[in-house]
Amino acid sequence: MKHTLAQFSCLFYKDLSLQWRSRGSMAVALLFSLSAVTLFALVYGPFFSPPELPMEARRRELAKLAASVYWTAAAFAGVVAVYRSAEADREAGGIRAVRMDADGSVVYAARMCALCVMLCLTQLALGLLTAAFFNIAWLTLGDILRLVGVGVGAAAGFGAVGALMGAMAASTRGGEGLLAAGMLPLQLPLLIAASKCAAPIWASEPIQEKMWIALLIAYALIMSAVGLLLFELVLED
Amino acid sequence: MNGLAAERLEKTRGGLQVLRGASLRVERGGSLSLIGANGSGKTTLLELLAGLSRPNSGSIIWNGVDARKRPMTYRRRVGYAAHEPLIYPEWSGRQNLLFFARLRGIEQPRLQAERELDEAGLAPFAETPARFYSRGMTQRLALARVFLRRSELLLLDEPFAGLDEESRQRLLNRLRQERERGAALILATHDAELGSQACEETARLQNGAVVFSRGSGE
Repeated sequence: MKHTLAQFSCLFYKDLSLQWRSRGSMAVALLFSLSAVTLFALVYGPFFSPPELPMEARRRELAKLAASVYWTAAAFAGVVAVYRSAEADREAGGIRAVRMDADGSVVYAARMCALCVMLCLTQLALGLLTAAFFNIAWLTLGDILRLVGVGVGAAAGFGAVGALMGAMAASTRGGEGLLAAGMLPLQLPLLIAASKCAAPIWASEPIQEKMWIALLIAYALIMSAVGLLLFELVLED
Repeated sequence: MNGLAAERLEKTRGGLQVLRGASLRVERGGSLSLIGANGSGKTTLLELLAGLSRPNSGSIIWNGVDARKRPMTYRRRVGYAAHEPLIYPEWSGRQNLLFFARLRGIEQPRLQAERELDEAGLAPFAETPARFYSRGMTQRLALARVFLRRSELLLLDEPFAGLDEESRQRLLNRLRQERERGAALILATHDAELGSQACEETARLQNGAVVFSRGSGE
């Protein structure tokens, strides 16, 4: 167990370190995501919803827009992070050397957690920009904590699928296209659930439809289990 | 058997049958040089023996450990150098060796990494990212990664490729030492002469089958 934990931390560090070294491509993804948020904000703004609506209704409409733009941008940045992570492993065959020493499930868990951290950091940048450009000034500390919770849950689900799909894409010719084509539809339930959870929080309201929280959690758990089971098979040719 | 026993290995890739019933045996401390033309299946056979790929049929057993039934236990006994260097080019030589030493749970990983860097003649370039290494330096780093651990079975795919004369001699000496401590060695090479210098037995792979061998693999 101690050795497994040591291997996990070793692999987790490796994944983060390699992501950091390929930060150029991540910066491009982040730039695209920030551009998307900026563009929506400028095209729709400065009045995002009809001014004749009562304040509460306007806030609600704005929050829906902010949540959907935010998650669209985050999904794109996530796909780039996933591909870079798998590509760094594949480039000179490093992952095959890792497989000689570590079980596939440990490699998968470390990759998933590293992706989760990357996505959380991306979300932090996106979240600040979304709040600034959409003039969302009414969030309380409680709302921010709830947003962090949704963000971490979604990042876990994203990382769970991303670690598996990234490994598949890296071992396939033209894998980048396959990754986007395969991953985005698969992530759709997660993105919808995350947006549905985040929208009321952006409006500083309680989440009425609890099924979206359940979906967010279930998605991360199910996909993690599937990834843990299949990762070794994916790495084998 | 006290050693490696690979029996009737079959492997198909991309619709092409690469291996057709290849069998070989190597005892502990024994050595076998696999020679053969391009596409004869040497690399595929080594990948199967490394436990990184599954055969369509056949068995691979090292000292009673079945590679299919207990893949991780099996792989931890094997040191494998492939065609590719199996390293992280963005990392320096030191970072690569330190990472793999830690991953393997080697005691005093830093000391071992430094020792292997020194042994490979890479100490002056320890901090340089591996992507700036020459072909020969990359190959030396790849081999240093394998030698970090005292593997019971060494599988080396074209280990002399890109090495200069001095490095070749150094590798031949190292292989001799590894065998003396009881490791079994299988290497795939185009160069039959170097293969026979490094190994006491030779097997030829032709069209995916071991069609000629001298020694215990016969």
